[in-house]
Amino acid sequence: MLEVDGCSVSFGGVRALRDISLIVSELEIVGIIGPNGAGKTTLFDVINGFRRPDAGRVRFRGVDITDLPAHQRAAAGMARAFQNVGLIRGVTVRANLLAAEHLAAHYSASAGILGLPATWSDERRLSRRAETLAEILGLTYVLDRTVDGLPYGILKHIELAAVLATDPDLVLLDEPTSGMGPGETAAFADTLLELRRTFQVTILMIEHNVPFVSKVCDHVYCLDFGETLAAGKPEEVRANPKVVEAYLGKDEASRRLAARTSREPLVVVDDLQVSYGTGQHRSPPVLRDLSFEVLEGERLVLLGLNGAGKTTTLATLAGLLRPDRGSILFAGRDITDLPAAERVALGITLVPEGRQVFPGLSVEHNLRLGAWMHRHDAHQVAECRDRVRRLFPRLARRGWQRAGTLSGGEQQMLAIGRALMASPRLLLIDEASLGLSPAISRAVFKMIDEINADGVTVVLVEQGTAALGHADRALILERGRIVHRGTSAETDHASLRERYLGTPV
Amino acid sequence: MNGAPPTTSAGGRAARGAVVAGLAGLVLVFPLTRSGIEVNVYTEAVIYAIIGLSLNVLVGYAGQISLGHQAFVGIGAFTAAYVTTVHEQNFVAAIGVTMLVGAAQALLLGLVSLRITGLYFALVTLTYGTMAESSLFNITSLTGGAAGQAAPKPAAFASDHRYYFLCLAFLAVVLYVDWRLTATKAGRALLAIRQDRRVAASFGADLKRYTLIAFMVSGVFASVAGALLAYNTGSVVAGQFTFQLALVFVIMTVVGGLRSRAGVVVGSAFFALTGFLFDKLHLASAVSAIPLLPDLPADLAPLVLGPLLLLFTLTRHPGGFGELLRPIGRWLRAAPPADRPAGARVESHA
Repeated sequence: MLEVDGCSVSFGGVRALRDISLIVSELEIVGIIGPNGAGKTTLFDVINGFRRPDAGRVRFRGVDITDLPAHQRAAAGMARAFQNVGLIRGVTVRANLLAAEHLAAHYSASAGILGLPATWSDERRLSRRAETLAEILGLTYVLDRTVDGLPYGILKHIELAAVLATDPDLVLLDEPTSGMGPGETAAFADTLLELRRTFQVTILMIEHNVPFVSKVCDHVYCLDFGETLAAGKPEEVRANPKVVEAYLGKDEASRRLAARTSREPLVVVDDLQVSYGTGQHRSPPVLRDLSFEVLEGERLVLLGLNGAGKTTTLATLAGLLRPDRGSILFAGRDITDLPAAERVALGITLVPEGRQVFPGLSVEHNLRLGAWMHRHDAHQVAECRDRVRRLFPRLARRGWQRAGTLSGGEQQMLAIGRALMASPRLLLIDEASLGLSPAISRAVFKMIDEINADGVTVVLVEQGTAALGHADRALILERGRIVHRGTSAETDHASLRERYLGTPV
Repeated sequence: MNGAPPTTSAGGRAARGAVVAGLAGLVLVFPLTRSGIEVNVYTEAVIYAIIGLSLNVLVGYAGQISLGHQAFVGIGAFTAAYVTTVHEQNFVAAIGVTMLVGAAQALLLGLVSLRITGLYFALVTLTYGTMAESSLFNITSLTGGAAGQAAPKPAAFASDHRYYFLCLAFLAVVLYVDWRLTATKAGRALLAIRQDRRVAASFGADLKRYTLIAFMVSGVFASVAGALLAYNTGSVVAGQFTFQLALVFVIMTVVGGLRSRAGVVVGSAFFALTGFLFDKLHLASAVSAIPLLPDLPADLAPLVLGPLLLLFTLTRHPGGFGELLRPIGRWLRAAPPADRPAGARVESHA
């Protein structure tokens, strides 16, 4: 059905893809794995027409589509989901699905604009079709909500509904399970198999979650440095020593810092209640009766499923949300009503979910913006920058590269580096491992350990339990309440995992 | 909208009926009681509403900018006058030709927008407008030169009052087309393109095609408005279509509220009426009573008021008049309030 034949792409002097060939047959589910920066997303861009390969051809159902623009490939039956969720922001889920039905409309654009009678009935049909799709994916209850502010896991499902709305034969999914908890991932595997049967679609996906890939894929390609490292049945690829080396990373001795004792609380959160919106638009509380302490110098991790209130907790600590009730003390001072900017000055810095680097600016400029507080003190800026460069040698080498062209792992490092430029005392990191391969997430966590060893207190938010090895204590949130608190060792317990994090045992 | 209306009490229905009747009375009956000269001003307000909607298609839907919209309107005005006076054609033919010319000139500019974007394209539109104003509109054989071109009203609508209702009918058609544009696939394609062109392409929406469609729809609206403006004053002169006018067009659309039909209509009509209201309310004397303030001619009122309102819109109400009108509209439709305040977070860029 899809045939990529010897495609190469280079950016400037860097070969992003080198002579890649790939075949996807009708109704297959094919996985592409590989470390961040291996060229997987670039390959998707070549397949769906966002990037013209320097060499090689792409054939779809035997037709050479190498020179076809992306929207015509969509019309030919190729749909794509994006790494950071390809939805239209600022409008409802319904509007998104209707927009995705662009190709399903039977009338011409001008007939629609003139409001001819036939277009009215076709609009009703499209509307029903969108509702049916939403029903199939269990999204009926969010149809009239704006997509902004919906949890990441739900956005991924909406995107899938939008992709199906284009009536595709081949679906390209870019890291579909990123941001999902283990339980959700397991359920999603069944959803995919079900969708293949009911919609008769062929699926090609980029994915980091190797167990997930093994479960659903018929065939797997492993990419590294723009080349195909291995291809074959999932279990063959998984066992390939080259793949193990490049992708899964060397088995790291679990390094756990000795528990340091007798520390003062840096943050005291007391009886916090937080909701979104104001006045009559106020949501029910997202956080309730939340009380906890963060000790000076410790690494605390907040765990929980999507929608548990982890990000809200961090946003409230950073001052982006004002609590309805309760108080926050920082180093003995009541900061409950302090605006976010002043909290940065006190030493509280947030690394937001999804990295949020400034894509059009260079690495260097991103870092300088992080030092906004020290803008009148060139010496201080230089000192912070040297520290970041020491911690992240990869960033130092890419000083003038545009941040948007960095790989996901490098962007995450940049986001953390940028936060360090404000010389924080408390670093809040939201889902550092989101969308990163296991080896790269481990590298990022190791950096966080080093930052912590320098005396910075760290609060992490994570979905998976991988971060437990890099934390002293853990809190588990469920529906806005703390349901468990303990040391990492106590938390890393099968019964807790199953109960609150949905990991099948 | 969704869900059951919260207020369906007899009192609620009566109150809504009274408001609708009041609005209808203001638009349909009140002008009948005024003099022809005054009705001309109201007609102009209706035409400005069409111009506002034209700009809204470009700026609001397509995310493009036009700082040369006086050319769009002016070309429509001169085309209509030329066809009517020089070729002695009837109104229907004149409007038809005007729409074609309006679409064609917008298409040209649209083709440029596919190659040049952002600030540079804004400069192109600005140049286009001033070029039309200073050279195109001074080609004597087409526009009558400095004396201008006569544009008598169509015989059936020769009275100022009848003409007012003709323009109102055109506004109704434009509103219908604009509504269907946003409610069908073209509008949704533009929405997707404006927000994220990669996502739009993955949905199968062709950026080039829909951008050009938006330009042409905007061009047709603007040229029809230009034609109506020409007949309203009875003649067209090049000096009417200055850069200041283009600025007022942009300001009235933004202050009205991009992507809000009601907001744009109210905002545009408001700006068309400022000079008139300024006179009526004797604001000029009130302003000149303030020491150190220079005397302000009434026709400059929009240009002084505009930036002030624009500043207010940008800082306090990104949704413009439209955002302020939304609760009223919702109440009139007896629909429940939205789950969050619209305007502020929703698409505050573009």
